[in-house]
Amino acid sequence: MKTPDVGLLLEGTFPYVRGGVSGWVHRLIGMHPHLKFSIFYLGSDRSAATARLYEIPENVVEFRQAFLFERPGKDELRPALLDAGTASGLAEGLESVYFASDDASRLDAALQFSDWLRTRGKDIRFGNLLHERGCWDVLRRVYERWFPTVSFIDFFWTCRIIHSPLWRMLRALPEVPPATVYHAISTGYAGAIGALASRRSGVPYILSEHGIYTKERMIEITQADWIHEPKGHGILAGPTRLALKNIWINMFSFLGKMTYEAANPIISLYSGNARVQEGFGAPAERIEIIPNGILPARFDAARKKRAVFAGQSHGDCRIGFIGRIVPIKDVKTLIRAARLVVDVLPDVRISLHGPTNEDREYFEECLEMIGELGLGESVSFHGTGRIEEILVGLDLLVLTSISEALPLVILEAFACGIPAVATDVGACRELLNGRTPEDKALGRGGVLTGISSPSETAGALVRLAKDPQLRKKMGGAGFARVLRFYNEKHVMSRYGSLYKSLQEKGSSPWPA
Amino acid sequence: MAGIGFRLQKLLKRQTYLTFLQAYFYAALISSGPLVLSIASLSALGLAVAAFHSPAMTLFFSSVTFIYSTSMILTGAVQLVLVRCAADADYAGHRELLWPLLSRFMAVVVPIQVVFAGWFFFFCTDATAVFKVSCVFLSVQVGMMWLLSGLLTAMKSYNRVVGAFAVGYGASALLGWLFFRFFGPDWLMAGFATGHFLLVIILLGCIRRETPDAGNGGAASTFASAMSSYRTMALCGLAYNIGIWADKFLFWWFGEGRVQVSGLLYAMPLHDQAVYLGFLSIIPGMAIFLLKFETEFSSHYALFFQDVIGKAPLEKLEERRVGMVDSLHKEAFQLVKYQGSFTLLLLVLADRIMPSLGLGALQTGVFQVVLLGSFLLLLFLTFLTVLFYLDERRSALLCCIVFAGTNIGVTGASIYFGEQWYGVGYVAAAMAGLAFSSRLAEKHLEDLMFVTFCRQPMFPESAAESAGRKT
Repeated sequence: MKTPDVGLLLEGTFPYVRGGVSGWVHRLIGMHPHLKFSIFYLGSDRSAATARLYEIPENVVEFRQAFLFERPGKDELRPALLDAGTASGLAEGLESVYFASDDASRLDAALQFSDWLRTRGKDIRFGNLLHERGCWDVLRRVYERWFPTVSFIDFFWTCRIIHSPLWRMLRALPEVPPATVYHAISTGYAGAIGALASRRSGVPYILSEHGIYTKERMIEITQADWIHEPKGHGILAGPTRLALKNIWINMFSFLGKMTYEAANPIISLYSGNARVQEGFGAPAERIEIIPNGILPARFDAARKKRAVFAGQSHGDCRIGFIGRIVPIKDVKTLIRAARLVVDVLPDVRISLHGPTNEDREYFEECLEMIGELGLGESVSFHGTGRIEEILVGLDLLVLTSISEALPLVILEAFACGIPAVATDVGACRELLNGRTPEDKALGRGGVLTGISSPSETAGALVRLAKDPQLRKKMGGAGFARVLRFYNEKHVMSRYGSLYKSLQEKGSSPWPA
Repeated sequence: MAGIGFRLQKLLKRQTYLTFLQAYFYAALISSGPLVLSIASLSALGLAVAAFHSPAMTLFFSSVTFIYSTSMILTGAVQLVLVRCAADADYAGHRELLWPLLSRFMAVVVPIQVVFAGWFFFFCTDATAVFKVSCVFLSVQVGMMWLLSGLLTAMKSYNRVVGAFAVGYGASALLGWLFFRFFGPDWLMAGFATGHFLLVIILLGCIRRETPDAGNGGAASTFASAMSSYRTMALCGLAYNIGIWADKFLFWWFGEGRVQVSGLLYAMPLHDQAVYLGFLSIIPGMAIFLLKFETEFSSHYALFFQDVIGKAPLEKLEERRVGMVDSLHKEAFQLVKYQGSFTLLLLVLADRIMPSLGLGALQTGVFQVVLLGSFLLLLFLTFLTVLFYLDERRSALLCCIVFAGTNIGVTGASIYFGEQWYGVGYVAAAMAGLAFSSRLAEKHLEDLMFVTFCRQPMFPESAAESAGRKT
């Protein structure tokens, strides 16, 4: 069989989990029917991966999977009898990783160690890591050096638990199907195993990040109480808890660095994310931006229907919010802004579209606020609906989120020629104002506002509501921007050409 | 094992003069466990019987000795496992499981005793039917007695054990005497065995009273599963008891001056008495051992594990470990000091004590050798206990095997070389056991941190992972 063109490395997403990234992967494969894909899926355990929620496209020629948090098999847990050389090699390998003076040498040590482990094949088992005296000595020295005041039993178990998926990952390396280009959709375990696989076979390696995996894990770990706590022995004391969480965070951050070090290019959705990646150790010169896109043709009918009404009146502008009614979208700021808008333009109607059941309490508070501010006539909730149909009835889109990635709803509004007023978060600035000079030349697709600022949002809304010409101009610029830079067909085809050029170059950034 | 120490410490904390004495009293009795208790009573019995100088008495005494010793060897394996399972069940809060557990063990031990004693007394001895049947009966009672007293010890009902034994032995002596007076010498054993039957009934009653009928789930292990999960423990019990009795049996069967009592039943009356007397010298040392050593060491041991579970940093744990080692050294030194001086005193006085008991120069020599052996045995037991505390069952087994093997080998040689070497086997065995156990205990204590953490299976329910470990 011919080596597959692209080896995708996926962690906890397509085809077992539904979500934005999963859909994107599905379309990425579907839009490159001439390329053969292989998939290596890393999941936590088998029980979470029973039903495939997406059909595997025909051009996926190989699909393999490994489950990192699964309990290792009996054989793997039983220590193998090691000769003295192998036993000390194992301990020295661990020591070289943990006692590396900086990240670069740690990375080096980790790669050498994984190479060494590979040459030892199945000789060394996880049981050896658990029970070997040399490993214990390293663990003890790590503790004495960095954690001397931390609860030892918790440190010990955290180390054991943290090494189990890492070991599984190293063990799974030979399972990664061959490919002429590897492409990971996140850092973390999938990113790290991709780095090792690309190094093993000397092929190029691409990383695309939608969210920033390392940052997401950091937030999760900081908030979590899932760090190992033996039952019935009370809660962990402050410093211990923090130290143990840091072990996990450092581990994920190291996997991230390993991925960033190996991948070229590193692809980001927008420049804000690119800067976060840099912060986690991605070399700036390797970062490229390929945003997410939409298919504008889907909105052609809606746009034409809108054109019939557009730009007729001054004061009765229809402003719409589309999104989940949750605190991160800061709907309350929007409601406060609505009060200010209606004070100036009483005929303006503001409709909110989106699921209200995700944070019931927040929704109730919003309703209460509408009542208190006497906006019953002007502001209304409409639940969910088909996006094209909602957009037909709008003149202006508004977003007051305190955090966003790359909100597709702005692109969808643009596809209907609707301008947007949005807070300056995530990719909103480059969506509204343009990113590259060429993009900026298309003009602004709306107005940026500060977060949690009802007056700024209201000011922008009033300005656009009063001026149909400005709306038309901005909507037009947005439409042009979507066609030019955010058409999913074009966006995805950039991956196609990236694959092609890397296949031709055919070398990994890492000397094997 | 640990439980005893803790309980004693509680007693000591009351700190009144009376309870202090009480604690010493318990210590002296429990320390020996059934071992010293039985040998003490055998010695007392032997000395009493010696006064009669009649063949019937000799037959009676050697039969009782034979029954006690063989049943200790036969049930030694089973008893340690039962005690361990009972302690586990008790610790897990499943006292109601003790009764089914005990029934299962008795269902195995009783037939073994019946078959063995039946075979021996009916086919290998020459006595009246009444005597033979009584011997089998006694044999069953003694087998049960080991199990029950072991179990009650595990349940920390020390005072009940002591009370039951006092009543039971009292009744045995009285009934033996009464049967002897009214029915004749053949019935002495029957009376004695009936007294033991009473003892067993009392022990059963104590256990019944302390075990609730039903509990909240949990199933008692079957005999087979218990034996297989603690097979190292079982072998330990077997080897230890063989080690304790090997020289006696060898002397009975092959020693110069042995007396054929009846069929395969042999004795060396004077030699035996010297041995028992020498062995009794262990009692004060045992008292110190239990009261001081067990409580001291076990409290350091408890502190260590409390701190492990209590999330202490490694430095603190290391301190605790060193505390354990220091306590072991300190208490072992105390034992050497006190038991050593006591032994020395007896060694010096032996020439005066022995003749007054009607024993000659040769027996005095045996007595002195046994004194030395018992002193070493005490130290051996000390380190063996440490190995049990650390749950190093394989090492404990090794020590017991060395102990038994040395006793068999050297005693065999001593019989070959002649009477002046008698007793050397026991001393050599205790010395070898001490050498191995002290070496291993020190090594395991040195390694405690590694064992406590790194030897733990990552998934405790995984049999495969722990298979490589210890059983």
